[in-house]
Amino acid sequence: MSTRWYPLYQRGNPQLRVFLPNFWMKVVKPKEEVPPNVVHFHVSNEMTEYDVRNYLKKIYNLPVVAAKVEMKNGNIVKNIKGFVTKENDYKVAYVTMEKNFKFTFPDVPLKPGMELLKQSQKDNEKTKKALTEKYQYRPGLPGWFQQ
Amino acid sequence: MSIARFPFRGTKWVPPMSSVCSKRLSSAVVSVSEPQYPPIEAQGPLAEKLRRKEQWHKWLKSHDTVEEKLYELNMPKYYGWEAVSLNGKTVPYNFLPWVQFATRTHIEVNDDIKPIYSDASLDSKASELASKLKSQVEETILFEYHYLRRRHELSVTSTKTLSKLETEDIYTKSFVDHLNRVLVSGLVSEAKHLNAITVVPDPRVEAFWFLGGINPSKKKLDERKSRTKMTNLNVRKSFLDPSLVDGPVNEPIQFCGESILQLQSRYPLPSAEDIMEEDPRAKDIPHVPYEPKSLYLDKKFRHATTIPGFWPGEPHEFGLMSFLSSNFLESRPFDLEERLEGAHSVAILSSFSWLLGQACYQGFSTFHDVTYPLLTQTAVTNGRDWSFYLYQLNTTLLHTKNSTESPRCNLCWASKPASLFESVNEGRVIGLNEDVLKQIIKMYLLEPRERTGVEMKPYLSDKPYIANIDFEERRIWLEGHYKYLTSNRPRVQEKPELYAWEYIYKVKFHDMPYAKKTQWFTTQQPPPDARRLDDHPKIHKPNALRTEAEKKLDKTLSRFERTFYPGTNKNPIVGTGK
Repeated sequence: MSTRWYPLYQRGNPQLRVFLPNFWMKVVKPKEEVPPNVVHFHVSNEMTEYDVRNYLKKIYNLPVVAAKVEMKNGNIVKNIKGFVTKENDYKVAYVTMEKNFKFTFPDVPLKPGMELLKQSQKDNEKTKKALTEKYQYRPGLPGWFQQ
Repeated sequence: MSIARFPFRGTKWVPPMSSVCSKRLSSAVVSVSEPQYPPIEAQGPLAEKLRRKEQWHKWLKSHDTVEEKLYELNMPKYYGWEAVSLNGKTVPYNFLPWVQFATRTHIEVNDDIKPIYSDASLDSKASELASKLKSQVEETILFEYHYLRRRHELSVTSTKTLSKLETEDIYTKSFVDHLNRVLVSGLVSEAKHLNAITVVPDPRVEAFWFLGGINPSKKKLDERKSRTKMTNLNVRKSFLDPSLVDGPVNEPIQFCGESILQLQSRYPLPSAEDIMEEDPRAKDIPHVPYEPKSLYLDKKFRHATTIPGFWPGEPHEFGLMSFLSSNFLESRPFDLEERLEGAHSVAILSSFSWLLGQACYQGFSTFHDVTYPLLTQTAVTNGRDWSFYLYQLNTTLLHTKNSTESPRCNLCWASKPASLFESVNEGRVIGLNEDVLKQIIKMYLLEPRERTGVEMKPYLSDKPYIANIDFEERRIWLEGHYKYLTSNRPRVQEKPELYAWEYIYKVKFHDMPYAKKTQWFTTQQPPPDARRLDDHPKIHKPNALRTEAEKKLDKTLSRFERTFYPGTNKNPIVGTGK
């Protein structure tokens, strides 16, 4: 990726020659079932529909028919200190290819050790739930001690 | 005010009025040789859900008039259905399979349309008339494309310039209008039925139906999952069984057409073939289960309207033919085959919607299937190139399983496009194609006939329109409300909204426990989408306007205006004395 900003073209300037643009595209798994000729991407925020179309056509020779981009709000989370913060916004591109094109998202294996981590997270939740159920009804105890 | 009309809508147990037991032993001795059992009903959450829906369908069927049936479709939604919004000019890429699925249509594309038109006498009559009217049609083409300057229509003002598409549409519309006039006046001596037709320019063709077999969206899945955990008594009604979470949904679909011209007659066109109860062609119809938004189709909140270009009660209530513009298809950046499929999909959607509207005016609906086929002819044209369609409506049932498993299917016969003329050069028409003219004339010559031995309106009463209702107050109320609903004006008081800050601080994180809990999402009240159309406060009736009979009633009844939602309050209040 280039360290420069994408230079804005002004009339009269020499032709833009960018060797390492800031553009990137990442194939993502669609949240809903989509037709086999539709592919979803996360793209860099600067990209327009024309950029998406040209990127796929010119670099990868893909039979793009239509492209649509949409800006999505970043997830809103509460940090450990209790502040509400927002994660970065991101751009999603919905790209339709020709009818006979077929794409299925591959089964990406989890990174080594992730399965163990997920299992331990599940176990933690289970224990937490069991504890809350156990100590839910404690008459006489001030509310300060309640979770 | 929520009317508990169905047993599933919150009926309460009412204690008996008197303490005397109402059960009595029969004195007659009953002897039955074979025990009579009630029918065995399917058990399970899905069967129960379907039964509840069926109860509504039966209630809709029981209404006397056409307008009430169409109004009833809107009763579950105060703010309207979030329907897939289709118009005659939205044609995304690869649209035909979805259109076939959404209308359950089998399409046959040939050079010529085979059924009905291949009749020998019709063919010879049409070719004779085509050669007779050829010079008149040539004059029409010259007048519209060469002599007429259209300085008024095409004048460019400082505020607005016409696009190429708009200019072409003006030419097409004007030419089709003129050609229709020429042909009707030229053919009326040969085809007497053209004496009694209605020609409607720019008709308002709208149709609403439910399409089943669609995958639930992410939003819908989340909502369903949350409903499985509901234990609060206030919202207990919307509890959903976990087995139904992944099931397909019914998607409401609203079509608003943009045809140029349509011709109506008193009787329907003769059917091309009888309805086949087990049609093998139905199995070839593609199933496109994807969420409409992933196919670039928009959804809009609006009331369901079904209008085939005229109001109920019009004597000329069957379609003869309609003309659609194809100019917008040429601006699509796709290849020729895709453009052709676009024309097919526009014709299928428009024909189905128009016929569905006509069927609804005969008392059928999206829940009650037609008992006889209805036909229409459609021409898609830009003035020069013409493609013809013959559409037969065999089924209107598309909800739940019907969209994929119904044994019936609708039929569409399509012809490949051909040019009526090549060009207009130096005041002469070059290359007038007589075959295309013959096909247009055949459409006019096809005679609509009365269907003998068929009950045309089996689900309607003797008084099938609101205008026939004797009870004056009810008639006026229903007429006004039906017309107002179909106008789709926005509500005076807007739909309650969940703002982003409310979602973050009140719903997601519960960071404002001290804030006043008035909105529906803080008080666990049902959401605004669950509000029914009759769920509104009563309107006060001034004392001076109350009738003598009403005054004798209890004040809780007499001081409010009566409402006459479909199927309710059918009789006036008769003075009984207090």
